[in-house]
Amino acid sequence: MTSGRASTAERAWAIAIPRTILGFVYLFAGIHKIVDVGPIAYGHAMAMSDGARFLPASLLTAVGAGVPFLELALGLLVLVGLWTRPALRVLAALVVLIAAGYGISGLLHPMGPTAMGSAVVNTFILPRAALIIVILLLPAEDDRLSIDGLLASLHSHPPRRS
Amino acid sequence: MTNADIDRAWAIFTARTILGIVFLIAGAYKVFLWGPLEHARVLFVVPYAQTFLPVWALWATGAVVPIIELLTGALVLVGLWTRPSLFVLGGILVFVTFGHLLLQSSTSINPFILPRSALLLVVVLMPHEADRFSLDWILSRRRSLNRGPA
Repeated sequence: MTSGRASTAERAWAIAIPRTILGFVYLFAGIHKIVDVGPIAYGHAMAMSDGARFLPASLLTAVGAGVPFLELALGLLVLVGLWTRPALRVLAALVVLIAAGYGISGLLHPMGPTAMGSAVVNTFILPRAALIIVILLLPAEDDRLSIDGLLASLHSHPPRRS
Repeated sequence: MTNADIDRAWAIFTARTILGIVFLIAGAYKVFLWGPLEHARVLFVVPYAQTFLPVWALWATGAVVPIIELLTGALVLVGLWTRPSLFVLGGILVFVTFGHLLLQSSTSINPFILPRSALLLVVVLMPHEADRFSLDWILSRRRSLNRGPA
């Protein structure tokens, strides 16, 4: 019979894997939008989306131009594990907003019997949401392979003065 | 409230609201844009006409399911009567699984039913008092404040 709980190192790995994958996803999403598309062009594309039926185009352009930098910053923070939990909460809000946006878009341009195309829901929204949910449900103190974890261990074991 | 409580509340909020959006949008599309009877005809009555299922049941379920999806999706989205709504949605997922597998291969449930079931299970398996960004939580807190100290 083995003990009922994974070791500290195993738990640290279990949380580092989804965190770094999620971090890379958002980091590269931001980089691609900045380098390949361009933030202004991305903002203009957003202003020409279905959102323009409900919100001013100038607002959508500004938000669209800011999203790539937000994704890049949040992705980087999650990747290295700095301010991880606040960054994850922002990403959670972002993914819910995106789901709502795709939902409204699905009503305007239905894709299949559920209106929201399963390709969008299953390949874009749900994998990101799943990673965010998993990390948020794991104890923050187990995330030792992160800058947050390093800082926490330094605070709990301050270096001795000679 | 600890940071762990906040993280858990955010995790439940993420799963619950996405699940609510998915069902609300599906229900709204079927009820308002398609119409429950047309939905029943196209997706229930015509495809299952050659099966053992009675036609009246196909019409009834095909017309009612979209309305249930719409109502429970909205309730789950805002977190009101969340648990009963989730159990109803769970029943719909099982019902739709049966329907898919009666006519299609076992993989046909992968794109629709399994992801929704996973989200539903995340919310159901969490303690309901941990869902702090829901109307249920606000109402239960107001009730306990009105009741006062025991």
